[in-house]
Amino acid sequence: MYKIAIVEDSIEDRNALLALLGKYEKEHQASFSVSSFPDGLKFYGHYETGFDIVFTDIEMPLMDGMEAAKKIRDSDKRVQIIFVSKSAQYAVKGYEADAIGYALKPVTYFVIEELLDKAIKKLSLILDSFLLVNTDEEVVRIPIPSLQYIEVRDHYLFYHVSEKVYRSRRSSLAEEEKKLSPKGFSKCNNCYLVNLRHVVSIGKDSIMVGKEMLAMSRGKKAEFKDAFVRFAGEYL
Amino acid sequence: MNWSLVGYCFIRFVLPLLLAASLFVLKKEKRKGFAYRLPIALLLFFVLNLLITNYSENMKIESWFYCYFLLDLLTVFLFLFFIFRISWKEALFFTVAAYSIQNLTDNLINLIYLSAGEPENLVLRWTVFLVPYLVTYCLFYFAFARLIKSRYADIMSNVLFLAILCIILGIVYVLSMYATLGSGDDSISLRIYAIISCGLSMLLQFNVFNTTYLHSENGKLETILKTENEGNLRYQKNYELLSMKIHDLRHQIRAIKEKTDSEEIQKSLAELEKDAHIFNTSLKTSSQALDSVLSVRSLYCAEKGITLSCMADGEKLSFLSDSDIFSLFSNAIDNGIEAVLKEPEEKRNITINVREKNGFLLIHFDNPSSSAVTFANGLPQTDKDKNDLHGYGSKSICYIVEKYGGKANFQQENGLFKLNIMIPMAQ
Repeated sequence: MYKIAIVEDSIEDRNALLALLGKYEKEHQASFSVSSFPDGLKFYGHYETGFDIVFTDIEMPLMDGMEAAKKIRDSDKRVQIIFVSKSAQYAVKGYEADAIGYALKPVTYFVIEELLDKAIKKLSLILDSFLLVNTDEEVVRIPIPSLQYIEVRDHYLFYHVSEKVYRSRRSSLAEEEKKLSPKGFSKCNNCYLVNLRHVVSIGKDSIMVGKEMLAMSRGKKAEFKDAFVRFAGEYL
Repeated sequence: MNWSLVGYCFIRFVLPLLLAASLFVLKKEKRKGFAYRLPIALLLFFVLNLLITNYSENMKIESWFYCYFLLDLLTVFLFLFFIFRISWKEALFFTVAAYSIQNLTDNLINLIYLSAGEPENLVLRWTVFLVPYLVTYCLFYFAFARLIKSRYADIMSNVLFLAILCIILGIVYVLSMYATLGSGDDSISLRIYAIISCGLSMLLQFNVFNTTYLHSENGKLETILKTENEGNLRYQKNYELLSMKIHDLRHQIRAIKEKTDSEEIQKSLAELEKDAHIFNTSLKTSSQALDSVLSVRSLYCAEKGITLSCMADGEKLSFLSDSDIFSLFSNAIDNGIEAVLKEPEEKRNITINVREKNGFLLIHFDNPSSSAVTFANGLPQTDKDKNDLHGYGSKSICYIVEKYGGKANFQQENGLFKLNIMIPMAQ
């Protein structure tokens, strides 16, 4: 179940969008709980996190949807923003609020479907994504987005999470790779499984992950770069 | 006729050479009348080689290997040229390569004989003879011969290069024959030397052709990009002029509208205004080059019912040259337009996304594409005729992106065709 907010001053446009959301629910066996807000101020003035997807108009009385969306983004990194606008001229700046994209009015099902697919895919990369790691003392729950990379050394796996490192000998890198590669991880050589979200540069034979430099092998280079381009181009 | 010598020469030299040469031409176009050319060629080939081999027996050993070597290669060369539709330079290239691999293997066998002794047992003898051939030929076929396509035809024109290869191989041949039949100073080191020489000359032959191919391909791309760029600049100038005129026109329309009372005229003026409005809907992305690509395309797209959904931080493109931005986006959008024109009108949406994250410039394009796209070397293959410049679009995208140390990736997933691009931003 995804929590969706529609911020739209025109009743007609709001109903059109609601109808398309209903169609999407049926066709994709998805379930939405939709809240509508008739004007921007009502929604943005008392914004609380908790929404998964927000459809928002840009030109609204009393409030500019773009400015407001940027403010929301500052406090909520997770919410997926989709602009719905009469003109592309404003929506072209949607990247400023880290939006998924925009739909031009009158909205069509195909465009909404594509945007919702993207939003849900992006959410699935963030939502409920924890990794349980058995260290010698305890079981640690690591949020996948903050895991930087996993290193295999002397039959141990080392989970690097910003400043901390957790050591575990209970699982194999191959197993973790199977689990994590659909979530934006790729191996830059046989002993590092890297979270592509944290890659900040790719050199000839090494990469920077956060502040650490990891060696990249010739054999894995092409594959790693491809994985990075695909992931970054769409989901970063 | 000394049948045992002839047989020996055929098994050790003539037949393996013919086989090696055949590996190349398997997929080549045959000449007209292949059905009668082949038996004639085979017959002539065997008769000629029979004569050469037999004749060589009567000659002194020193002159023997010079003549025999060249004459036999000549028959292989003629054989290839006679039945396949290839140029004489190609035939020479194949002959030389065939000789390298044959000579390499033969020396390998001799090396085994030298180090382990020539086996007495007939079965073992044939095994030691056949297994190296099987191994090297298979390796050779999969590493080089199979990958050869017609594309390298223009590279083969390097006669000097072929001549140098012939000389190297000639020396190797003379040395190995000298070892076998001449002084009797057969040594392991000589054999190893011959094997290395053959291997190196083969690497030279294939590597050089790879890089030359790359050079000529890049040259072609550069030329295309340059022409494209000139066209784009002209287009942009025209477009700017036109938008200025239309801007004036809209003001005039508004002025007339205010002065007239006739409803009919009002109505048609409103229509006119709407048409002129298309020109004013162009996007502002803070990259002039991108804006002009988009505005030029947006007219055509509006006509065909295609939406360009573009979210772009144009400022981040500033480290790319204008001409590269033109080419990159024109090619990507044009590919998208071509694809969505095959889709029903409600699906004609092209998404463009330009932003910066973690120090990378990230560009994403996608468009619906319900028919399966075939890929070769990661590039989508065009279904248009291959004889013109079509198909260079994707190549030139990769070329530009890689010029900046980036990477482009094309894929088709869930009915969407996607192009993702990553370019590291200058530090």
